Amino acid sequence: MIKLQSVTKLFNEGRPNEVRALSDVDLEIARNAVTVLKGPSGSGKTTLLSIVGCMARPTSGRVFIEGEMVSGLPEKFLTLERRTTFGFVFQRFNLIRGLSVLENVMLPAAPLGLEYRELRERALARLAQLDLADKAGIAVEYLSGGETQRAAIARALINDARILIADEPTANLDTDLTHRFLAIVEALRDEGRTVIMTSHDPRIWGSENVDTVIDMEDGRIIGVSE
Amino acid sequence: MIFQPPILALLLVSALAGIVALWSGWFAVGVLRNWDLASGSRAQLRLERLTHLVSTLFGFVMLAELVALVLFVYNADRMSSLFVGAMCAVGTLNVNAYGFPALYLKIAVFFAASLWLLFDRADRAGRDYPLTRLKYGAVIVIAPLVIASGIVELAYFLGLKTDVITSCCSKLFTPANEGIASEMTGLGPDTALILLAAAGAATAATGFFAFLRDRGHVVFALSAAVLFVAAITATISVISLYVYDHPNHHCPFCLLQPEYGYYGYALYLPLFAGTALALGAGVIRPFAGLQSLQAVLPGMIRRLVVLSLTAFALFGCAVIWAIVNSNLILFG
Repeated sequence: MIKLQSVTKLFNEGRPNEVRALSDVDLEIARNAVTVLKGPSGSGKTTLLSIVGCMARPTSGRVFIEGEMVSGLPEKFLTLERRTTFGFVFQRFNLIRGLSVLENVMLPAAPLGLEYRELRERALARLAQLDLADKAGIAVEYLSGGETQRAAIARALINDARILIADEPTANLDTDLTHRFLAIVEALRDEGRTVIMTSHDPRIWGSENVDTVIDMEDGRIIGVSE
Repeated sequence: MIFQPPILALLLVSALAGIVALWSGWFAVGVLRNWDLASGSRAQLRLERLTHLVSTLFGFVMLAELVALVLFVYNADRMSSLFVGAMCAVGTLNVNAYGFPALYLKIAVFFAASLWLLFDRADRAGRDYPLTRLKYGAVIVIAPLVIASGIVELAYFLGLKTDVITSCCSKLFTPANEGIASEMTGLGPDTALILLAAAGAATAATGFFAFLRDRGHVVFALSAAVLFVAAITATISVISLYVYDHPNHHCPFCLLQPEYGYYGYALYLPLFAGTALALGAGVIRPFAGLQSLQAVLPGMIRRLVVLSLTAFALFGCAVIWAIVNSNLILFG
């Protein structure tokens, strides 16, 4: 269970260009479920996702994961939390060009200090799970859109993340690839993971694979539908 | 004032330490008054973020203060050639009334800084700021000490006049005078060595007990404090005699000079380090039961005990080396 308690996030605090990205948000996100944050641009979806994923700190308020407060953790523990609890899929996937798919997938696990052989086996298993085993040695810039997305998901899961965070993961994908993505998400949920993503895409928040849709506007939650 | 690089460096460190201590002390008052980890208020989150910055800066000046003590002593010894009557650091420190108070304050800051740094390290090992309030409570105590040390040091350096005729160490470390130095000097060599051996044995025993049984750290810390006093006493009373091969030369500062191979540094550095580490183990041990520190603090305390015992062993080796290699025969 992820719990947000009166979370507010200001950017450029105290300056003329101050932006209130989140305003006193109280929210509970269920474990082992797929949750989608939807809303127009500037509604605070990505900011909320960043705070849940410990990539940003709230200006006020607390975030708890499984009852433990994480938003105020000292930086070294926050890094550890990001490394071991979360997997991230970014809107533009952010794979590193010039490195192979396998190397990209292995990269987030490198700081964990695993043996190279074990790391490689783990990455290959993830790629096989996502039907990318035959692309392991190819540089990521030669992948198609769907393959790039799956490589990004494999990378997000390499640390056996309990919570997968995805920011507009289907923004650049066609309908077929979007459905494939939803099938992967469903499989992840069945594995016992929690998936939280933002989306403008009605194919996502209208899907039966999604458990909860959270509607946002102007940094506030205006509706939650199960 | 004499403008020499070590003096300027020491004054710079003291000025920096004073400013940071003042700021940290002011911040510490805010922490003690407003810290509430249960709150997610903006003020609390700001405090949490700032504690990292303030702790890092304060830790940096505390580290600088550790080095400053060595530089202060080294400089006092080095400048003895500038003053008529001075043979070692004692003469330099006796040039005006602020010399020895400055040294004593530097030593007090050294131990306070060591303890605070260990406290800070323990606090940073926990996920939920387990010792933050205590750590900043300590800042409030240490900050005035740092500022006072800086002021006295400044007064001392400003009062250094090369036309002053000062007194050498033989005037201070002689049984004929009154005061603690003379009391230590007058203590019989056999008594001093027995005290040192007893304190050393007690520290070793309590240290091993603390290491093996994971308790008794406070007793170990107290033993180490007693050993420190016994070691300084023995250095003045008897060890110095062996180093100088002279039955009446008791100065603990001449040991730092090149003609004695800088032997004093081999003696004092492990002694000070061992004492500081042992005190740290004793001070931190009561917090090992805190939930967020249970996994890390016992290991850290064990390392402190081992390092402390190692440092005391080095001190012991230095003492034995001096006695074995001396031409002086005090007993038999």
